[in-house]
Amino acid sequence: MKIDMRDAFFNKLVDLARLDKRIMVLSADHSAFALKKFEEEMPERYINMGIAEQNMVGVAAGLAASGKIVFVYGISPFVSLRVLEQLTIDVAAMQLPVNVISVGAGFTYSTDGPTHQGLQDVSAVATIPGMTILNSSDPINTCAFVEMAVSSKKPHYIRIEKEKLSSFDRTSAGDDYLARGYSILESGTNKCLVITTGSISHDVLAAAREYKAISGSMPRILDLHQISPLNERYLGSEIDLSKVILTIEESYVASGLSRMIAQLCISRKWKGDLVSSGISENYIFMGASREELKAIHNLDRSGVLEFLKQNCK
Amino acid sequence: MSLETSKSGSFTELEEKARQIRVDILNSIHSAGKGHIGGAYSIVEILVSLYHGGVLKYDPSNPQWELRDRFILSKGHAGIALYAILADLGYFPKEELNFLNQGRLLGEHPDPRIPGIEVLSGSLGHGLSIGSGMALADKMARNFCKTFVLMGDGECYEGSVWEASMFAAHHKLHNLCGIVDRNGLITHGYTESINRLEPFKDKWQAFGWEVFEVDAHDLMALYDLWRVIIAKEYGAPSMVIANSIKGKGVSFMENNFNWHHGGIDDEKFAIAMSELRVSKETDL
Repeated sequence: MKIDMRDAFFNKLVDLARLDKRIMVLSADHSAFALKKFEEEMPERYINMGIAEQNMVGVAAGLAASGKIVFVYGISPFVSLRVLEQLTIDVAAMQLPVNVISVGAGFTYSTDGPTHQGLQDVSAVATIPGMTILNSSDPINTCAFVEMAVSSKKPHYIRIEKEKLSSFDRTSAGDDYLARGYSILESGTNKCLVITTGSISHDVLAAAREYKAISGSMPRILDLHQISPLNERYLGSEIDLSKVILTIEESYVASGLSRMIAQLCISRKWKGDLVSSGISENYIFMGASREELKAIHNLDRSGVLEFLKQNCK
Repeated sequence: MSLETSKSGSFTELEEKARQIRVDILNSIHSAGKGHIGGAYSIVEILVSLYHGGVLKYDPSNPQWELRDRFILSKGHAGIALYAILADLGYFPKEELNFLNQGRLLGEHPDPRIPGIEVLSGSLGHGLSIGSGMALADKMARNFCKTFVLMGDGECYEGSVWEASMFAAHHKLHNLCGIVDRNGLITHGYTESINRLEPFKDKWQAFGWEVFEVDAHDLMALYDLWRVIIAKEYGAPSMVIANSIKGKGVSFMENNFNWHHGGIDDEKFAIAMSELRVSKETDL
């Protein structure tokens, strides 16, 4: 069953906020069906801040310094690039429990052009020491992120989707997948490790299954939900056991997941082939559906299948 | 010290405290080699009246006391002025002032490792938002804590200040008091010739604040003003435009933007010390 990821997130947040009066939500004039429920049930703990993200993060820091657990909500570029300094100085440097809910990963706002694309947010926020970046790929980990954020009382940048997604079968993922920072969606039958993140994990998994039907072999599929900090111990073991690593991301390859994985591979003196698929074009002005834009950049299911055919050994 | 019992006598004490704080600042910056002395000297009476005038509630033995008032030095470059106050109050050993920027507790800009410092500051335009969040939390909790945020006038070029100003006024944060050190100078010249701030008071009023103007070096006027502000139980946030003199207290530094930041040689140090009437052994 597919569930709207915003509903998954905010329903869980409403559940927790009913029990924990410290939880507050600040929104940069951005809404969601399930967030309305928070607003209606707990109006004193919900504030529409208007279109003023810098102030939103600063106010959140002040509230958090006074004992609140704060979630701030907005569109990816505006709650990352626009507030990079507030997130660094006001939040992360003081390790305050402020959690960014960022909606708009990749081409989510596909017709709105470069101002609204979420191609750079993760790489920008990953420069902030002490800020944990979580990227949701299904309703299960989305809900888990809410619990992680509330219980840890540390800063988080949490990407959520606005589309409906089904839950992965995490039979192969292991019980400790949340702490490990990633899920193994397919164990694999060869020495090829595919590392991906976010909703595109669904396309990657589907393409890998098609690839198996054609080739008879299945790469190991890793859905990385904790992009920063990388769990170097576990992820390092995954890298060491692989001969080929493919990264697939709906963001800029030069600064995103690919760069982070490459850095980890270098630090481990890993010898193998690392090939990346993502966005290499500077600015994408074309407005189209998310699927169309992904297809243009070979990030739809058939594009990923071709990528696997060419590089999975 | 109690001001209620002997007002005139206490003002003499406060004046002496302000003089001593200026001496401490000068010694500290001289030992560090350089520092932001001009903007530290312009806020000395503001700090002395807040911390020694019976305005702020605080406990140096318990800096995280839950019901303390909050003071944010948003113009973080004047950190040495606040350090001198906090050291004098016993938040940390006064000896630390002699090791400014020398790999110990005190750096140029305040950070929350330092007892008595609420937030990391140094990048301008952050404090009023954070202070608004703190004031909102206090208002929600219905406690009587106040939040004071001291900004520079040049800081008010930052757009985030005005984002915060709209928010605080809209939410009627009566328990929030902004203070602008209106010394009229930024690093390389006069605010009014570089990028005009006036009509400054009108701007804050238009944004919905109750605005007060005060001579930033008149301890009695500051004392009376704080009484009005801390008595507020509802309504608009308060903004104090504190008309000050950058470098106040040392003639060659006053109103001279070259003393925004820099070193002070032994000769100038001696002149400054003499102007600050350093004669007692305890001053040195």
